[in-house]
Amino acid sequence: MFDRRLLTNFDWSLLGAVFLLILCGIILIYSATHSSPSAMSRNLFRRQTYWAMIATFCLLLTISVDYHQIIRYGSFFYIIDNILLIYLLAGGGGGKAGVNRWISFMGVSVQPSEFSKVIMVLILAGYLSRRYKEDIRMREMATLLILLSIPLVLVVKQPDLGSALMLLPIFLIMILVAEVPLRWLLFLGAGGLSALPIAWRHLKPYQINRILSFAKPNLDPLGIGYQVLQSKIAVGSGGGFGRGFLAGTQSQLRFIPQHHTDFIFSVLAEEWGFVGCIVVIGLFLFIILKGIDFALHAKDRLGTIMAMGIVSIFSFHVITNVSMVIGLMPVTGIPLPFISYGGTSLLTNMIAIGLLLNIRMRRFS
Amino acid sequence: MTELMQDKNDPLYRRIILVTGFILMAFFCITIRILFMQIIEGEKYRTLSQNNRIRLVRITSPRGIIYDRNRRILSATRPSYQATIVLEDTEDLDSEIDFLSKILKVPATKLHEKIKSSPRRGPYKEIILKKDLTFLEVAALEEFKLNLPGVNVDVGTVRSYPEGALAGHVLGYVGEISERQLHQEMYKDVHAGDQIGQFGLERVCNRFLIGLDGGKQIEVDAWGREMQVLGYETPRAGDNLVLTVDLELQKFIEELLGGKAGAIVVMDTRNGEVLAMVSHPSFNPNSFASGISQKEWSELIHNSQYPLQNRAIQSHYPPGSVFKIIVAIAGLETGALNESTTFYCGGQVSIGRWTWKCWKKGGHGRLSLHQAIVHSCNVFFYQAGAKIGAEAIAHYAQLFGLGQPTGILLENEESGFIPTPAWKQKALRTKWYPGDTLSMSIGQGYISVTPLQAVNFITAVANGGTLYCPKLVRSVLNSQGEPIQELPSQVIRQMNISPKTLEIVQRGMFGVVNEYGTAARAMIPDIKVAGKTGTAQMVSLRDQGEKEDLPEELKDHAWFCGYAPFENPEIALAVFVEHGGKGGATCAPIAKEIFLKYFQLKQERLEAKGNV
Repeated sequence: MFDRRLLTNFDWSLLGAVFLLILCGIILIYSATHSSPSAMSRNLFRRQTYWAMIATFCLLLTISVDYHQIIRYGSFFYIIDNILLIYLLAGGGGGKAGVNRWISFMGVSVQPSEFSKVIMVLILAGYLSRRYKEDIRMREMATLLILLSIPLVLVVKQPDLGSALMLLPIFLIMILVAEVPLRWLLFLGAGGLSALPIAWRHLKPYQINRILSFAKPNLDPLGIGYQVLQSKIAVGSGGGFGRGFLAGTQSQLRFIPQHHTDFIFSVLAEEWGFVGCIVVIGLFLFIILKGIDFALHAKDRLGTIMAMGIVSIFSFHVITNVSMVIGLMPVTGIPLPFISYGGTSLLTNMIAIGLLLNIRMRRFS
Repeated sequence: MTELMQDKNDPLYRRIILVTGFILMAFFCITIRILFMQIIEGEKYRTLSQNNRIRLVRITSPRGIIYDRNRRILSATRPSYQATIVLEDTEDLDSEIDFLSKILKVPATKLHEKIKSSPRRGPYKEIILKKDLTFLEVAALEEFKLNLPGVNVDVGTVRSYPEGALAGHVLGYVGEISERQLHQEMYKDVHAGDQIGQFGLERVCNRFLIGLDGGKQIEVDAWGREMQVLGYETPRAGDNLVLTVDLELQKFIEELLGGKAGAIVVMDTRNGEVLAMVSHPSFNPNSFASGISQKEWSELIHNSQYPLQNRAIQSHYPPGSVFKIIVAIAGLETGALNESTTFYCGGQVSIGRWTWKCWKKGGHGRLSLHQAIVHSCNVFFYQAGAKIGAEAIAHYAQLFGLGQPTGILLENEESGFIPTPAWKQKALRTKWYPGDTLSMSIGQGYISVTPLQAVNFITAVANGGTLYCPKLVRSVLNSQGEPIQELPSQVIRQMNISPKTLEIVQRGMFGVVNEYGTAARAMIPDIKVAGKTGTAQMVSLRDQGEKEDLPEELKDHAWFCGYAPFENPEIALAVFVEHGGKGGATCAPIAKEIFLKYFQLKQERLEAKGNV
């Protein structure tokens, strides 16, 4: 299946950067959980390693098929994923406390909302690649909006507002790159803004609290502002070179809730300092710039749009997650790609990397 | 290359560059922010993280024990269960509080108030909801543990008085420190929510009993759980007090008053030690220890008999005929009277337009000073008082400590009152009439004394003229039980009264009990008791005669003061019964019981010692 041409165009440096990030992630998960009282928590870094292996296998699977082939199954994936989301909303996940995000399948929990992001890229890329600037009219815009809205609403209802909102920048960047006329973009922007007050009224109390605590973190340092304040303390106390592996008091004494998942960047910042942050942010930037480079040099319109969609997934995850940890944005449950603990997230991200590599490998074929 | 890249003016290209610019900007902002937090503000955050993980945990010192003179426990601290809540661990606070309110039988609003008013020093802090849980409450909390996440049963301490209401007024009670007290210098080491003595010896001797809290500096995790001890300071346990009070005697006496309000004080005549101090009705200090309920408190303060008042030191009444002892001493010392002075009692005496009666209709006939004391003849003392003069009587009364606080180690002691002509002129702007002197001569009118003052002056009469400051605390022991401070008896003054005078008065008091005088009911076969009765009149002397028919609240107050044994005095006592009628009838039998008990206890203890 692999011919020699494909292999010469395989970008090893991108895969290397991804593996470095995954390695950092496993070390940080170990650091964050090794003193945990629960054996299950202490074992998370091992689970993440297994997930990394599975994800690598999926990556290989992704690059082995031409992305034009994959796109053909876009609608199929899109339908399956939305059925899973509906199944979750119907209570199929058996989730407690009104949260239905995970599906347990043979002892492994997967989070369909993670897949939604890549599937959104596939379905939009497939649709947009066949339509040029002058083809996009009211009907096309409506179709695009419907394609966006179905998973968006389903994920919002889980409720997982953070993941749902991540679909927006992916959508926007993709239609931007696909040369959707500017008037449509302005129209969308105006519509979005006018919908804000309505959206605010439909927020859950904890979501409002998160936004309030972002605006004024010192309002209630032991209540809603606690997480952000503790996280900022962790980041700041890391200093230039960090406090050393397993030596961050904020992380080791578990002042930061969810510090092996969404807040893992605070462990990185505390224990490895500014130098560690720069290395990790640098690796992300490297991956993103590689992706943009692939987009510019893709064989066709489909490759370009798809690559930019994937670039937007990574960019916005990193920006949102890090901003949240350092107090620049309200708390949203967005993981840091490759680093935060979470099998589905790792799996999706690796598939996304696989798609990028795929576009790169097949630019001459 | 692909066709896309050949034209840099391709809109697709431009849009990708636009997106790239945006992404680079965002990454730049994030990096600058991290740089700022870690490099420029790093020190500030490092300090914050130190504060986060290092916590000072207080180790409370146990409060000292209060013992009676024979080292039996009157007040101690015992472990107890308390219900606490950690707000961060609860799931639905309101419904949990409703459920708890049913188990603990505390209104839900009160529980909410407790949570709101508790100082929040950190997350995962325990808030005490109710102290001193009963076994049933503990069992119920454990049973419904799963329904009450965040609610725990902890071990705490509670002040306990094993003898209940015994000597409640002397021991006092403890309670949570008030907002006002927190700002006072003397409580600077006490924290909000701590218990301090609020009444009685618990309050006055708080500085001995309270000890000094220790602490440990610990590293904690986000749940406040101890990870590592960084420093330790051992708490210093409170010192223990040994009182002069005799638990068994006190207990015996408390039962003697029955339903009557009154006060009894027993004092060692040789050193001024208070063996028993009873004020009736009393209260149970245990009800304050775990936080008194509004209902109980309101019952205590609205009770018409004022159970919180220590009548032994806070109630002052005319001493009645007990005061004749002072008048006799004043007369003998000034020379106005001598052993052979006689006056005639025809049942009344007229001075000016008024006629003053003796309590005995028909009168006592001619009698000597001794006989006048024995029979408590009013007419004799009217005439003697007129001869001695009000100033001289007041002088001797004050010499014996009347009209001023005795200085006992309890708060809010009343000073009583000894009137003088100069006082009356100044305060009431009227002349001191001869009638005022007559009233004073038999201990009525403006004059008033507390039961403690009464026993204190009788003590001085019995021991030959030494006026002591009544003593309640014998010694202070450290927590190991070793004495660290003995409190010596304090003499207020050594009075220069001639032995002859005291002997005449003492023999008179002996006669009161043993020569068919007014306190014949205090006579005991083998023990020589001396004493004097008194009646504090509620209605004027001139209306005397029909007193037996008076309603209870208008009945006279009854006194008996005495000591024993006559030759070699050991104890003195004052028995005061509100609305008790006549001292001889009401108080003398009580005094007799007390003397009997005292000597019986003494005998038993001697035998117990001999057997060892």
